[in-house]
Amino acid sequence: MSEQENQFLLILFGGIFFAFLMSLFVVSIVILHRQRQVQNRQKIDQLKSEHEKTLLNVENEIQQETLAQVGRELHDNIGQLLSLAKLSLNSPKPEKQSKGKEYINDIIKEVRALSKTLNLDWVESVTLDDFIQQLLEKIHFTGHCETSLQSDQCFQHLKKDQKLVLIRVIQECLNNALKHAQPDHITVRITGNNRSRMIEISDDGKGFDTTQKSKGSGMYNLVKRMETIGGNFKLRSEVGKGTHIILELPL
Amino acid sequence: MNQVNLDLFYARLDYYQFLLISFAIISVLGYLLLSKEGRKNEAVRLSLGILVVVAGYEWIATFIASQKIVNNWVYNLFYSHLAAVLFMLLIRSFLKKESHRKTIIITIIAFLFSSLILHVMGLVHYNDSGEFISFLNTTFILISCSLYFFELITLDEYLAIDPLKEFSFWAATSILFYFSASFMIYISHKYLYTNFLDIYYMVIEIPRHMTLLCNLLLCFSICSLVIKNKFNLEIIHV
Repeated sequence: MSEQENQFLLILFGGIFFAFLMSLFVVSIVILHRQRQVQNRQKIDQLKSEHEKTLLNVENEIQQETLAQVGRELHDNIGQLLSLAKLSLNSPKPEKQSKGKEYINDIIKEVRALSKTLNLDWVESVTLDDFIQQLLEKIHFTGHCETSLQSDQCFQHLKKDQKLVLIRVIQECLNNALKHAQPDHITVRITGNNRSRMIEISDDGKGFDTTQKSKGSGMYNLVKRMETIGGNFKLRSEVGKGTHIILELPL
Repeated sequence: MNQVNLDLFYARLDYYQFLLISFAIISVLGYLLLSKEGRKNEAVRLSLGILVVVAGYEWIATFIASQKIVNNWVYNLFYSHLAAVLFMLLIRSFLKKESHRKTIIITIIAFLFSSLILHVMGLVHYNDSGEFISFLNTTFILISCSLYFFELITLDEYLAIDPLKEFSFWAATSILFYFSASFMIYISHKYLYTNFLDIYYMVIEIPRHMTLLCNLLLCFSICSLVIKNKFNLEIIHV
């Protein structure tokens, strides 16, 4: 074989090898990209399922809470009204009987109102501000502590899943405050700017040391729940100085 | 003064020059048919620039060579510097990270500065076969392409796209192949031309065909935008 032929073959095979290496590189890049896409899809699916799970849990908890409230209403309110109606209707006096009919009408109204709370449709009809207002009023009427609400109405438009989670988180925060902090005053402040909306829940109760690890998973659940709707949960507390919670939802 | 011999020039023209000028003309026409938004696309503008520059310097080089004048300076100036910078800017237009985009600008400045130093110091001549400059621009083009491929496999923005339907992916790949293959030929240019002229004429076809392929892709990118605008059909995403 002549030197020229040798050179030619060397260049030819060198070129083929080089082209092969380059092609391998590009194909590897495409494969790596495809792998990342698959991993990302799995991650998204996992997040979606976590989100659905959280929502389901939240709905269950709200329903359980509602059932407990219905139970209390049946026992404390409707039960009492029924007893009064029975007594009045059993009376031979006509004025007592007409009073008994009034009780029956009241019972019908109360039962209608209660039946509305049994499914979660009320979540869509009530605004977050109204819900918080009702919750604070209930706390106030129980005589546990004073409450106040300041709002710039920035949470008027919310997706149902966001509203459900926020309702549950707010309920949990207020329950925790009543259960553990024994405050004299609870304040809820709702503010928004062009980047995010915030709900601040402050109490002047006992407070606690945030550096100490919590025994339960309540706080972790609150953080996780806010994360599932793309929000943040921040908590600041000191022993004797109350607790300040911020629920932030980006726009 | 030597008289211009146009017959020799016409004799030297072949499909290569005609294809290049056709790609450039089609791209200019395609660009004119684009909407205002389409014309603002940085990748489209740079593709058009490259097509015009490449067609222009190949015709100039052919003309100069036909007049029996050494035409290496044409390739050194237009291919090794101007086209290389335009290709780097084209890759820059594909990048998403600002730090990477800045790196390309630094790379271009470093390349031009190194080239200037080499010329001023007399280490390279503007009319030599251009091995050093070819080495430099290939290195910097490889760095630029690496940045693009790095982004492709690391950034979340690319997760939603199919790289095989992206102009940026095919452009970066073809630029990588084009410059790497051309570099292999240019560094052995003088040796082959002196010792194995037959082989030289064979291998010189490789960068010529790589140029054609690369320009075809750039032309296709502009045409695909025109097709998308006119027929609402996206062949490749630009």
